[in-house]
Amino acid sequence: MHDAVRLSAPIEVTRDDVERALFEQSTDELAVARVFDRLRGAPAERAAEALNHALEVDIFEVLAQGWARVPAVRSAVQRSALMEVPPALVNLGRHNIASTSRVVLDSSVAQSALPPLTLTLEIVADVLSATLAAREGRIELVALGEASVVARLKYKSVLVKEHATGVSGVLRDPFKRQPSAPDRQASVDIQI
Amino acid sequence: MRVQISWLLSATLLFGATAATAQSFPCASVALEVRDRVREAGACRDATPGDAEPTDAAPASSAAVTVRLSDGTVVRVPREISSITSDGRKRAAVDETAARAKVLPPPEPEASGDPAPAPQKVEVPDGSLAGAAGTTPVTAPPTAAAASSAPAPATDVAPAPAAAPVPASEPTASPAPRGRPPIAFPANAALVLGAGVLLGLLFGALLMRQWLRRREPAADIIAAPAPLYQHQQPVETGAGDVSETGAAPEIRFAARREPGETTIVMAPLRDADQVAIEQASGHHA
Repeated sequence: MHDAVRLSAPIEVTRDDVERALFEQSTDELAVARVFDRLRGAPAERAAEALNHALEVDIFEVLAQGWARVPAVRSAVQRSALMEVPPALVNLGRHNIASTSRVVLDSSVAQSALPPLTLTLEIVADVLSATLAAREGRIELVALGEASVVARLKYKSVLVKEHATGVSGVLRDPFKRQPSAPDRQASVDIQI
Repeated sequence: MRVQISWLLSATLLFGATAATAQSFPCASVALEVRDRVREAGACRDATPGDAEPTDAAPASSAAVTVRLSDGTVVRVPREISSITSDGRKRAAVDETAARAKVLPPPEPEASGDPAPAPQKVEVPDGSLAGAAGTTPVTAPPTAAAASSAPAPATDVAPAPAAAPVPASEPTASPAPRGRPPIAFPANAALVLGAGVLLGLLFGALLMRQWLRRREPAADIIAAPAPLYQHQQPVETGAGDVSETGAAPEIRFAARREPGETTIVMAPLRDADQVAIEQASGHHA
């Protein structure tokens, strides 16, 4: 089921975002400062394309890594892996999952490698509720309440991109009697 | 550039043609019967002090030069003799003086109708008038002093006593032929000079054309735009989170995502069953 879970709007950077990050890097790296003018424009556009491929985040994996840290979920998964028992359902109330990863852009100019541009990707998901099932040592998402995701891309302490969106493609909590609000399809990019 | 060269050649040709046609022949070379009509038509030019004009007295011999000797005697000698005795440097001085001289019209004949010789007066640059009168022809010694005394007589003549008038039967020519060099500047010389200039310009134009042809390939190479980047589709690499864009061979990018840590923060519990674990019944894997 997690294959259907995805961000309502993918995290993407533009050429301007890349140029801003490269500019910040050029203040620290002399080698980048020397070729900064050559990296602007079309090269920055191509660098943004490469970064966007790396920013294709599987939001379920991010959420699953956070859910796996919950003791009740972890024990249910371990039990399901050891014994052939019916799947254990775990209902989680409101929680926040924060994931931090590094996005590295390697670049070379005229066969000369530049210092990599290391960005920090912070994903914060605010989940209203989630119903999980532990089966065969894995976590399955049964239902997901309203969830919002905010992604921030930083170069050191400089915010390069902030992206807010929702999660779509999941069922609502079947254990709740009242109908839940529909998924938010719209996404908002916060311009810096 | 070619247009400029064409304009230059055209201007040169026009200049040469103008120089060639501007050399009208002297009226003295026209037959007496039609000389006046030709002169009125402007097809010939009157003899200037520098031109040789044949006199009526010696039409066959073409010219005679009036030479004033140091004692004031004016004699007429054939031009050939005068030119032989003149050296180049002094001849040039004579030409300059003669060119500045202006021939005054002959005075009115006397009322008595005396066909007395009419002395011609020559106005020299210093304002004095030199009377040139006929005299008994005397064989002048072909000495350099006699021939080269042209500038000096202009100043020496004024205080000199009136010379013997030239007989009417031997009308004297204007003082112009005195210092006239035997070699007149013919129209052919202008043609030759113009042709030489044209040939030089033509040769220069050809050289310029060859030089421009050599420069054209180099200019084309310089002007050819060199594509800096070639847009290509991003190429996915084998790694899952790594993508690479090989657009331009000069600048390459590759991005990857390295997983970090994930934390979860549960909201404050409102009740004890924030986390509920239920065992599904009736479902067996």
